[in-house]
Amino acid sequence: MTYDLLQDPATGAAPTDRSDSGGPRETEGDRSVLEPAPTRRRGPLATLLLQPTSLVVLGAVVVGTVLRLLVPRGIWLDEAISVHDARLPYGAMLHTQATTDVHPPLYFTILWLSGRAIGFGEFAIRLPSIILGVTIIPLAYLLGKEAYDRRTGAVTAVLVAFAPLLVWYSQETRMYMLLMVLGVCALWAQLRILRRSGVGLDGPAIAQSGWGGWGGWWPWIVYTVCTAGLAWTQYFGLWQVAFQQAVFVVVLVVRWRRHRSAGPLALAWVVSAVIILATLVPLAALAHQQFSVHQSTGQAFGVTVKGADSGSIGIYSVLTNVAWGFIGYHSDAAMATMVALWPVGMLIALGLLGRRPRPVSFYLVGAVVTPIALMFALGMLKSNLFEIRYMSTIVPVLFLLTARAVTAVVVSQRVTVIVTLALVVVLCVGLVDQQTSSTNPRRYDFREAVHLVDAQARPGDIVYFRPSDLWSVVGYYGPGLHARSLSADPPLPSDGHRVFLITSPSLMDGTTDQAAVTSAIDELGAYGVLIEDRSFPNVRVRVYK
Amino acid sequence: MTVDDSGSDRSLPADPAMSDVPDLRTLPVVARTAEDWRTVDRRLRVLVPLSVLLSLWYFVWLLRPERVGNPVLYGLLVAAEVFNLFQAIGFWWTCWHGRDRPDVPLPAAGMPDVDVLIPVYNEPLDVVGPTVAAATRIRGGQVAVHLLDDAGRPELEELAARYGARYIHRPEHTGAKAGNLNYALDRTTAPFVAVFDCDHVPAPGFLEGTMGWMDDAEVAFVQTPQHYANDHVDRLTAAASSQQALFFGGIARGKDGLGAMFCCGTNFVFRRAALDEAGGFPEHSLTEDFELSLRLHERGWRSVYVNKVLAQGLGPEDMRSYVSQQQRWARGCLSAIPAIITSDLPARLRMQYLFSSLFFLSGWTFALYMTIPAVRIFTGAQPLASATAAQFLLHFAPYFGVSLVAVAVAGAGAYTFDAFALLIANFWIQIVATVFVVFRRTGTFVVTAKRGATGPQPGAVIPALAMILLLVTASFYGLSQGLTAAIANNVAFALLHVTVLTIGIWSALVGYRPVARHQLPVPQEVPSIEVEAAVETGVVDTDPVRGRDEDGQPAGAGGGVR
Repeated sequence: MTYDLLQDPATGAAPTDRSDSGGPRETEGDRSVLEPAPTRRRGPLATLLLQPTSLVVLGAVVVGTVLRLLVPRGIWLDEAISVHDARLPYGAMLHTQATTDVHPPLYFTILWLSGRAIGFGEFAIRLPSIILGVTIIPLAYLLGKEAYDRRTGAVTAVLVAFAPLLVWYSQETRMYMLLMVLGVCALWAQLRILRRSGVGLDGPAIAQSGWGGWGGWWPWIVYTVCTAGLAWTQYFGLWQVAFQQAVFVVVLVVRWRRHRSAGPLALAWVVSAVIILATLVPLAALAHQQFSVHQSTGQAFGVTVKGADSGSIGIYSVLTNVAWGFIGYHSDAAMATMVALWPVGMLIALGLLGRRPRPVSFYLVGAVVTPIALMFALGMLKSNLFEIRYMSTIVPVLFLLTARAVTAVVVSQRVTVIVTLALVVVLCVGLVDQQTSSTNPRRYDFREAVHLVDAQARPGDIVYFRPSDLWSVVGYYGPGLHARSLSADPPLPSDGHRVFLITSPSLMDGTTDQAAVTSAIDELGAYGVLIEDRSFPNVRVRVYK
Repeated sequence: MTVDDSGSDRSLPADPAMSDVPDLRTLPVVARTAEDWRTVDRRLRVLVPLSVLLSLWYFVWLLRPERVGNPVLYGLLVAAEVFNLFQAIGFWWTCWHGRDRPDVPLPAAGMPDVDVLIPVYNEPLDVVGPTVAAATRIRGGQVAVHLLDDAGRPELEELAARYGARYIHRPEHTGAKAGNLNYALDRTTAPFVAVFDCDHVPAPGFLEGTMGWMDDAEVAFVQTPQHYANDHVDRLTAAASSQQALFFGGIARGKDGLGAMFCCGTNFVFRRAALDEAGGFPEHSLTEDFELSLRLHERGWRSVYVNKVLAQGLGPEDMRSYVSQQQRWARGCLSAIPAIITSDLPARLRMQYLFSSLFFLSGWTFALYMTIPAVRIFTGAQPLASATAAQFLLHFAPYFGVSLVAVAVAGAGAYTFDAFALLIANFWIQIVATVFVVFRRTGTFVVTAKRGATGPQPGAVIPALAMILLLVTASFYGLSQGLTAAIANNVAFALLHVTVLTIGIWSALVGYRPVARHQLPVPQEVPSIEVEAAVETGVVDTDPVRGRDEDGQPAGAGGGVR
């Protein structure tokens, strides 16, 4: 044990000064030296659980679980497609994925398995995301602790528990929460590898702690598995993979140029990279097939989702996405107001004057900026790709950086609690509005809409929907309905029967879909009488007789 | 420190070298190495061209006719932005030429005779004592210390006698500090003259670090940094010190590289021949050092800046002192503008002097920037066409961000947010100074207090308080009219200004609040001071104070001043 190891990497203070906040780093073999001798013997689990930060994280997990279980919305189109695919036999699902979808199959495989185990009810199909959404809370704590200290980790966990966007995707039957969990794990593993290798992105490294300068088995296994998982979950997860690989390259080059031993770390990196590449080979074939199919059908990268700026992207698009990441989905007007608060960013920039960010902060900023920059570049080609969910790996990191800003500026533990609570209040306001406001453009109430039709439709009636992608969600909520996609010249029923028209204006493209609906409405108006016109969040049902 | 029955102010300080509690000004500070500055220079080689490009990107966009919203506001905004661009160009140009001088041995002619002048007005003895004591220990010359007492205090005469210094008291008190110095110059004869304000404690190696440059007969003076040793005792002193660190770091290094470093009133050594040629220190000016430098440069003399802390002083510890100091500097430098314009200086030097003087007009632009959100909220008028908000951000943000990084880098991380906020919050000083100079109102030389008042001083920051009130009122009014994106943007701007102003005047609102060193957002690192004096006492730790990380904590596992 050296004096350096006894010192707090952040303050240089001896460990006897330390409260739980920012406690000494785990140095594995040195733990018994770092911690004061207990006056009464407790088991390691009890000791761990009775630490204040553990209690905070535990509380965050409990509250976060409750928030994620309160699901105020039905599934929407993409979720219904996920469920439809997962209901198929596994081989058929993979084939469907390859020919009709644009995503890798890892999440769908999980959904396929969970569906076989617990069914495809609304709660059941959301359960994998809910579990992942809860899991990310302690993982965020671990990442914060690994990057900075326990106090930062605890604040991160609290923020992540309440983060509206994380709650949103914890309730969505899609792959984004899995992407975020894998992203956090991969970052954690890389930080641990670097620290154990003596790189020390933050404070003194622990190269002397017996890891031979390469990081040890577990971090490398976690890193390799999660990195491969990122790619197999969402193609845009590759942005984080690229960033992390670049970090390894830079670290190795710097070590080599400084004539420091890089061999063991380089070897471990090469082995890991080879394994990752090996897993990417079949994925590349799949991706090529999906891309070819979508190019041939003129769809490229999937459906258009209306956002704050669906026409072109610019700096406000970046701010909108960052605002979504922090405060969740809200009405376009609310988002425009929030984005207008950008002078706060100037204040933050000014506040950084005179402070020297730690290398680990640059690392985390890089983990945020890289996906944004790359998605922005891609968004120049296809603007609706520049959306927070495709770069959702940045969201937990944003909250970690926020937590770090709090713990870096605020010294007092009490003030830290107050500031954190203030942030939680802001997040709660955002969460409530996101989950309940009918003006949230991401909220679709297909459940109520289809149930209305299902309850009223009789034999001989005709149910139309538009856009055509609604087949999945109509099929999920109204499996007995013989609904069909609306054409410009729809067949009409015989006298006395009704026509139901389900539309989702925000999902329709501005030309074909709109023209078809307008034409159909004209024809239906000539045919019969509009007897009911009901609006649900982002869904409209018209009934003609 | 001894305290007699008659009160501490009249008591003589004990020899600092014998005290158990060392004076702050004798404690060591960290050394910023030449390699550190080379790193700064390398980064500026990237940042300055980038800043130029981004400023073009912004101004080409800003100056297009379709940007005009309210013509009057637009005109004012453009004027302010152009002025600040002019200042920024001066800053980039100056810092680009940063220069570090190597150590140079003492003049070959042997140990020079040096008169050390310490002008005193009404400062406490415990401030003056360590300065006199340290001055008598300066090596590298035949040093004669002169205590120039403008108040005729017997205890100062006693103090001088204790340390073998000469006590000089003039019968008439004209010309303030310059007059005091000139009076002493007439009664001293050494070919070199070193001047220290009475709160600036010189290091023993002061002459060893500076006199080598006097081998060049064209060098009129060698200036060294002003470093505030009390930078860590209060938020205000930390901020003021940070402002000094930016000037005596990146800016002074650049001025030296351009041959344009001017004398800064203390911690310098002069060649008497140069002083004589210029007719001594100008007595009509509030910034006698600035005008003296101008005269000397005009006559072809050269100046040298040694970027090495060889003396430590005390920064203003209360807002009133800070305001008085800034007012004096602002009025002095602004009143020198006509002389600069009509001088025979080469264009390079003239521009350097102009940049330094015109800086004190910045308060007008700060006031405008702070007023615009309120005007927009109250009247709906705005300088730029409303449809260009996203474009404004796209063009302004990179310029703003990179300029900020350039300031941070040029100051080697020494310039803090508190320093910036203090500057902004005292915008009104420069406005008042401009008015006084334009209307030729005479000013008096007010000595900056070396010991601060301990209570709140809201009276010293009334204009900033008024601006806060205006902005808060505007914000509430705007929000009461409905929360549109435009209102939100202007309220956010208003709150940005309110935050900056509040932080800037915080010390005046709460009074003198010594805080733990690690809690202060003080500069990461400050330049070096020779540590012999402190080490010789044997009572201080020689471990350097390390830089600050994002916690405001000392970086690394170093010790610190104990």
